[in-house]
Amino acid sequence: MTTVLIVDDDPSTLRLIGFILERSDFQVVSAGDGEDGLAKAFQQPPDLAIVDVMMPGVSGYEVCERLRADPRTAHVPIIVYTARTQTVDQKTALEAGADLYLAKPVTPDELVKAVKELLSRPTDVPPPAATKILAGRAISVFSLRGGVGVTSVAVNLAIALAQQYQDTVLLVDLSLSAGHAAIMLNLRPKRTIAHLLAGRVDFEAIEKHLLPHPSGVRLLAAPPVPLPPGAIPADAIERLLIALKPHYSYIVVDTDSSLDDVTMSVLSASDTILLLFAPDVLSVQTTLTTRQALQARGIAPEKMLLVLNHTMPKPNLSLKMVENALGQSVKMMLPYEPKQVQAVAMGQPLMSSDPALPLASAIKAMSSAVSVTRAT
Amino acid sequence: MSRQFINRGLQIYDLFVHNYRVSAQVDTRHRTMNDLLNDRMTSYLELFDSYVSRVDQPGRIVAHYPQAMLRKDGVSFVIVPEDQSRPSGQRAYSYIGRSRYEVFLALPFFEVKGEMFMAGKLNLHHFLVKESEQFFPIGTGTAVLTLASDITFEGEAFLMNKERTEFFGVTEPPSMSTRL
Repeated sequence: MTTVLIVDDDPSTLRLIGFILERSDFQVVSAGDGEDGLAKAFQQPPDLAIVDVMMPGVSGYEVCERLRADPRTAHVPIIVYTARTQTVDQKTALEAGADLYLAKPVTPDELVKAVKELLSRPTDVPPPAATKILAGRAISVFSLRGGVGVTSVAVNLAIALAQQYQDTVLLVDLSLSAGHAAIMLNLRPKRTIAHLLAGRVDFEAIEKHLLPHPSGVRLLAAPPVPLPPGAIPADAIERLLIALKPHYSYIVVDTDSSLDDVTMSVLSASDTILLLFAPDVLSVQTTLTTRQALQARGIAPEKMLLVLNHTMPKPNLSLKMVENALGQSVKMMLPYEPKQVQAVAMGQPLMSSDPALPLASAIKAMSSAVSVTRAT
Repeated sequence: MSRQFINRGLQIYDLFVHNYRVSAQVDTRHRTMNDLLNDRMTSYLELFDSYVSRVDQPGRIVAHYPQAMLRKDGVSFVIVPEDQSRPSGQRAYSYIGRSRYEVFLALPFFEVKGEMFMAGKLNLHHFLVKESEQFFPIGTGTAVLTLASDITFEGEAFLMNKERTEFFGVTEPPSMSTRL
């Protein structure tokens, strides 16, 4: 059955369009906002997407651009359906990669006809490309409280992204006090970030210092011995991330569990910060204060995404208690996995060695949720 | 402009204020937009679910606010469906003949063309100075951004702010018509 994804923040529109399409024998998947729509599209690409423009957070134009930029969904026909009815809106929709623009309201017959016409389009005709140029995205995994799995999440997230984007995903180990990413990947780097920053940082130099992993991830390793404080200036780290972005699709950063200048530089330069925590009192409390501290230092709240990592078989706090304490819902959760300890010890990340596990599936879903590319 | 009923009396309108296009839901409380804008008891319009764009990039949304207030004085014009451009209770058609005028208005950043239907001869001085309504309708409107003439906005009707109108030109001699 043909699947149509509808993305609209108005529940009435979702119900109405869904009803119209289901009556015409389409299977409908609904999403109440842009992020939800993208996550669902990346997880299970639909046969066609109908996208509203005016939505809080991620607008319909950005949804179109991101669908077109992702190889999983680049082929999906897109109808932009909006109450913004000016010629300029139609032009903007088409520039963002939409195939068709429909102005609200539209009759059921017109909608079904538009859907059927797009679906019958020959598949050898390439879909319209978004005309904006896209650049790399830095995703930091961070916790002020150690031992919640920051490095293993960063490693597995990078592998999940690399499984789709191959040579364009970097893992940068900026846990300069105790970098373990290389160990988890069973790699023995000869050159580290300290060597890179000691010389001129350009594309050729960066490439020479990257260590490839069979999963497709390339690692920029931390020094094996902790460096003295201030050995690497914070602004050098910021410049490094800026230098990396034009050349790589995703840069996953494993960070230190501190708010020193280096970590703050990383977090400031990141597009998304995954705030990792465990379901225990101390971790939740630390996450609360971390969020406040980061906002006080100018980090936009929209950049921070909470990720609940079950590091123990039985959580000390229920999800409801956690959400009440944090004052918001937690959308990303990683289940407990007893094989994780051995995976770390063997240097065989679960995303590669055992992708069918629930933890691997959850990380793959997380990679779908955070996988975007930014307009320059 | 097509109409989008969201719930209750909320409809989406394009409001143009100085440098910005604001697409938002407005609760007209089952009156017309003409009534709401010309209501002297209120100086502000309450907006819901506002999406703000700069006029030189009118397709690009730069801000979204679930709630906002807009000074009526600050509104240059609003694009509305034809039936929202009239006061409530005013009929679409009249037995009295009306003259059709093509009008040209210059506002900050915009020039607007459209048509007006008036009973009798249009007295611009009387219309702009003596008549009390701050917002007046023009039909079949087209607004062009002065500094980027490829950017245009069209609608069944525009509600124009007299206090923002700097130049008001009548371009065609009147012709008799029974339409409003």
